Amino acid sequence: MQEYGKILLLFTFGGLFVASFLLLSNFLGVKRFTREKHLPYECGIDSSPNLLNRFSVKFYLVAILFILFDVEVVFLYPWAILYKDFVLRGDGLFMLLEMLVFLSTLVVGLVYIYGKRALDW
Amino acid sequence: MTILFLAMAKALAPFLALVLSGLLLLIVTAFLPKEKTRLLFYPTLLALAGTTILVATNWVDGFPLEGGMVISDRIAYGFDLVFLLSVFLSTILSRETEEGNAHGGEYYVLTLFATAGMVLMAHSRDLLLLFIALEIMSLSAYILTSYRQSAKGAEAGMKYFVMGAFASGFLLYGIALIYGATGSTDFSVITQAGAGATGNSLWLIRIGVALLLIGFGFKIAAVPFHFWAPDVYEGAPTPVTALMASGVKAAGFVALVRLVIAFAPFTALPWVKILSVLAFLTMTIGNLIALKQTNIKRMLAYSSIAHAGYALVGLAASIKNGQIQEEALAAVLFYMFAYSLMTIGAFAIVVAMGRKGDEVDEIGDYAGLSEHHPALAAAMALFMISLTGIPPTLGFIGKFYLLRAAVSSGLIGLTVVAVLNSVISAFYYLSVVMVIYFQKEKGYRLPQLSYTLLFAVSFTAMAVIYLGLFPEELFQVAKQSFQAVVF
Amino acid sequence: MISLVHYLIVSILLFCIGVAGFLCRRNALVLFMSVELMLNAANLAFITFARFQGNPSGSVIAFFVMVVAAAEVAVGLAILVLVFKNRSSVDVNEISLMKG
Repeated sequence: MQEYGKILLLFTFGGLFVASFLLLSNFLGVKRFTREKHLPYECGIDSSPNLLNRFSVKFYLVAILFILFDVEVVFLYPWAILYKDFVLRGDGLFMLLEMLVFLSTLVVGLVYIYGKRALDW
Repeated sequence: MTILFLAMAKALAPFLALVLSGLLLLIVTAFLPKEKTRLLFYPTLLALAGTTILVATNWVDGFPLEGGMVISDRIAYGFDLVFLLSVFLSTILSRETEEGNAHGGEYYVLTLFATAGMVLMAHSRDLLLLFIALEIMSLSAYILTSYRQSAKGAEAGMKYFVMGAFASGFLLYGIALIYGATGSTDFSVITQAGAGATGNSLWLIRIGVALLLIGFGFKIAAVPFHFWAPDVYEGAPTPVTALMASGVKAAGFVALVRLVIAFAPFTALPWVKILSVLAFLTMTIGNLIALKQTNIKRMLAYSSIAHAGYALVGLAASIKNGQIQEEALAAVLFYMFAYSLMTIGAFAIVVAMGRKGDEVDEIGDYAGLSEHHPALAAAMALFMISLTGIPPTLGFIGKFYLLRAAVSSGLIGLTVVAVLNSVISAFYYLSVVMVIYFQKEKGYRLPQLSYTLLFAVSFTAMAVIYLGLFPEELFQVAKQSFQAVVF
Repeated sequence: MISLVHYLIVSILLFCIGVAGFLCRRNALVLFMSVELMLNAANLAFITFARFQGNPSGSVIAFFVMVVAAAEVAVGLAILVLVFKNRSSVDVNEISLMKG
């Protein structure tokens, strides 16, 4: 018990020591607030990067188009898994037509992109 | 099976017509030479007019279709008419401002898609479909806002996008909570499951509904969710601003109407208090800030916020002792129609004053318009008087129906506030009239007006006067739209 | 055992982090990320409810939300590129042509 009491004493004094110095520096220290200091801290990408390393905006366009068409495929998975059940129930043709409607809408988008030459390098 | 399929096709025909014509024009745009894309103006108007006919016949036939994610009642078709009217008129305005733009074709395609989104919003029977329809409309509206690719347009588009996406985050989380409590996103299942809900699941529904209200509050620019609206309205091309103030706002209101019908009877939230406070703040703050605006588009933006507040008065009046008051909702529909006409008329004159991209936005620039172009000046004065709500204009009638509904629901205090707000709004609306008639001209020369623009101005002006004198039939249409509302 | 409440708490935390990030950060790209966080918090809630109630429609809703989010990002980034072309910065505090 005695030994533990010493450790407790150590912690108490240590804590008090740290707290008192933090408080002292807070009261005695000089504070100069600038606009920069008041802004919330931000890490990560600088919002105003230097403009020296440019790259073609084409990369961006192709990447976005890829993501759009890629994500639409997500609807094909549940459809493909359940398709067998629909065929067994006799709704196979209807479901096939539904998916064709969906895909042809996407194809219209693809035709538009092609016509606008967004995929040309 | 086939009969049901045909009925579905008929009920959904307006939406399908808009989407199909949009897709068709999209392909055409891609392969048309750039200088010819402005020709797509005509097929766009044709598609909108055809859809209006489809909607009108469906309204007359008026059969609510059972089942599926889509509801086809007269509420939906009634609001569809408001959307189509505002899109039609704003498309006519766009002919003046966007004629030389290299992306003219996309403008019309996006307009059609935005309209399809609005129509689908009105027809949603399912919260998920409502969300997707809202996104179809909003994404098109974001692109249209920044479509001119100017610095101002890009900034407005970004603000609109960021705030809109933030709002849809709230909306989606609200839907998630309601789904969790009731196990469905279908309105009719929700109302059934909600009626028996107690304890935790009732609280989940309540929090979900609150989040939905915040989300749609952003969309209709109700105070305190309004701060994006003035910048976006100012930066967007004027026809797009007109569309945002009329069609997009009406789409937000149809969603709110559906929410009230579905959730007010069983959630036991203080609906009247919440909506009254929203209406009070929206009217008052919109009007007070509008007083000190010098830019006409910003002034009309704050005016649009204030008018959303008036319509919210009608929404607050639509719930009395937990019962839905059909007449108050009919007044909201009527008001959206009336406000769309008036505000598009005012924006048409803003377009007439500054054409081909160089916009003339300062109210001071309107000085001496009465000497230079008396008819245009008279039309602007008419729209300002109508927006204030002075008889014998449509604006007065719209407010009259709203406030009558509010009085019959016992909201006397809110009615007084609305009347006082109309008095405040007279200061800034009539100051525009003063500038037009009593200030010396600064030497601004008005270009020759085109026939399309003349059509837009004269059509809206005549409608504002005619419907102001004989509103009864139109109000009957609105009233019949709300007969026996259920999900 | 991890229960429905645990998943919901994570989802609510994600949502709140998204809202806080949206309100505090200045970089427009980070604002987009915050909004995505909010949408994905909702997705987590949908899937949690679907799993614990044995009701698969929630998982399907999550698919729809993912597609909507992708479309949103495509439009948002396009607008951001436009802003950047005009101003060479995506700091939302610096984007203020219009005031009043």
